Amino acid sequence: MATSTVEKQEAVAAVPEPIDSGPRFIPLVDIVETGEAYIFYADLPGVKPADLNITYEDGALTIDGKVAPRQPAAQKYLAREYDVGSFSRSFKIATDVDPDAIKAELKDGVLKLEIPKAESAKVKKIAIKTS
Amino acid sequence: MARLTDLFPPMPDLWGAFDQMMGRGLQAPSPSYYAEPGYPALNVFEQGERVVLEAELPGVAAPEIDISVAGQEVTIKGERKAPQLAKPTWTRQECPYGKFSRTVTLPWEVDADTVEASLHEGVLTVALSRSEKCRTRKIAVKTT
Repeated sequence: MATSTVEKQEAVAAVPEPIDSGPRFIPLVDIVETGEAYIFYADLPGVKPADLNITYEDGALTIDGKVAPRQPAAQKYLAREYDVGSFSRSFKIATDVDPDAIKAELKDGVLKLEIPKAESAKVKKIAIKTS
Repeated sequence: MARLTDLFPPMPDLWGAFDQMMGRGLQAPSPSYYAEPGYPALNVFEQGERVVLEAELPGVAAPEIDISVAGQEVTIKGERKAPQLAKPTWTRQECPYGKFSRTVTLPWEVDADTVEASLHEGVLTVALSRSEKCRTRKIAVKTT
């Protein structure tokens, strides 16, 4: 059976540091591979499209942005289990993808990125001739 | 966003600190026995006369969230379904999927008729007011 020789590595440290202060987060990400594409799901609740940057450069996919605080800084909490702030995450993905056809959709606080594989990387069914 | 509690072990003192503010204080929300303990993470704060519960619930549509109020308890329950794809290979799986349920007990009875809940960009906001009989009443002091 043919197996994929594509390696997927994550390079979080390669992201340049921001100059602002405040909490920084690493969003949760699911990565699914199908025969046609790599699909990323990132949990980004409260993120507006204007505050989200997605870039693909030289095999590195970066998702970064920020969430403005929804409450005033002086707000007193009775319970505080999470905070919001800026976020960033980078992935080193295979280079046999079609970067011009990357699709991004932000819905219900989830970012769905569809990165189509280049033709050469797509799974091809080989017909078997019987004689 | 990553929860602050992901980095540190549970801190029971967090709840004691609020006793001074609310008298009896807010009882710790129950852990969720489904998707993962303590999902979704909750922020609870006062906004004027109301108490607001805010939760980050990405990937859940409004019809899939069930909010119920009984006495002093508010329960947020629902299910976050994993995406269905044809012939997928999951190479990384971090997002929590499955059923979740958390109950918060407030120090006073909630007025079920005036609860307002809204979901925007994956953030759920529930605004709660005291029931009529639990409202604070100012007592006038007569001078004689």
